Amino acid sequence: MPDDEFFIRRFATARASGDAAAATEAWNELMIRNRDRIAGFVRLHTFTSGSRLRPEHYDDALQCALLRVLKMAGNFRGSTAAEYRAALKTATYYGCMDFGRELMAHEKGIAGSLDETYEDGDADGGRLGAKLAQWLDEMAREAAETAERARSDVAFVRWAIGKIPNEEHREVVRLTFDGKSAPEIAAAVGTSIPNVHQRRSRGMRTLERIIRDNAA
Amino acid sequence: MTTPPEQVLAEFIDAWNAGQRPDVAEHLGRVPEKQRAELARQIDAWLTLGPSPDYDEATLAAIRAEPAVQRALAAARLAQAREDASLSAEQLAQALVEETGLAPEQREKAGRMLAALEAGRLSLAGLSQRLVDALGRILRLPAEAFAASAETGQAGALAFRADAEPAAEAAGDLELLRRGIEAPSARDWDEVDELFLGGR
Repeated sequence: MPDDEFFIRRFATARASGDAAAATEAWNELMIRNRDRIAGFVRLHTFTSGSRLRPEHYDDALQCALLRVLKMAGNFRGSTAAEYRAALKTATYYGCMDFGRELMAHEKGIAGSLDETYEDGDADGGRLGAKLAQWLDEMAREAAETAERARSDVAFVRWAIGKIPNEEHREVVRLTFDGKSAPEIAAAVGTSIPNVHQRRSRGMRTLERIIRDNAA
Repeated sequence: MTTPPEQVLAEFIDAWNAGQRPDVAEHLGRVPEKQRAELARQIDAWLTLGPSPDYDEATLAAIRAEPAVQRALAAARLAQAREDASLSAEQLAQALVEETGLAPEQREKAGRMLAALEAGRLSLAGLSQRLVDALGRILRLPAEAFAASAETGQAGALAFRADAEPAAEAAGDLELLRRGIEAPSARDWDEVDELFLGGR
């Protein structure tokens, strides 16, 4: 079964050769294969107020995030799955913020409805139309920032894994991020599965602390 | 009795790698409130760098058939096709009015509906064949661009809903509510609604 790297190479090759249809197909396939990752980021999203999304809003926020990810294709210049994943995270962040703004506007009653008529002199045609047009413009602008930020995020997390001081924990985290299961890691490092779980949890905790302490 | 966070994280990662599609919220709910933020950060780190599962074809087909995925794909296709045709949103609305024979005063509402479709806000099941055909002619899009094979029972409704299963005792009430929401109002329903929300 082809993996993410395969579709990223296919996307990059198609784009370089000017085959827009093939590039889009590869990009869409990547989104489908990473739908659960995007959904996971949505569930973990924290607004600046510290609050998380309510369960009844997961689907709508996911919808915004999926669209953000698809719109990111034109600006993505990465060549690895790690860069793509980091870009997904940023795109999902913006998607959740889109949803948050939309929800806030809706709750304040300023979003209008699809039956709203144009106001005199309103060239954009209705508050909802103007809001959506503004949102689409913002999405295009932020997609460029997303792709750029992804590159530095990946390098940063790779650096952080290398900074885990305990060698056993570091090795288990590294193998985990390589996609190895607990039994495979246990066999590779010569320990028990419960021990792998423990090292992985402690290593992940250390990794998270290193990332948090060093994120400028 | 609660599960230790390290075990919850381990189970999440193993289920992820096995392609079992673990639910983040469900796993977070298995640890005490005070440990939830730390577990969330660890899962977030995993999602940021962990490899994608090796999904089987049935799982991939199920993901492709999800309404949210289909709406996002259709929205992106529409936006790309409009860009390829060098049409502004207003120009597309005007072209749609001409193609479908809508009254000129309906252009504004058609424009808003198109914007909602391009933002992934409309159920694909609500799109009429007349609309799909018209967009196909204007933008040279195949009818499959708006395929809605998995979307059922949503015609006439904007796509706002929760993914949690309703409690059994509330299911009947929710179904009545859904039917009420979806039933077109004779007073407000117009040709643009029929075009975008009436279904095929």
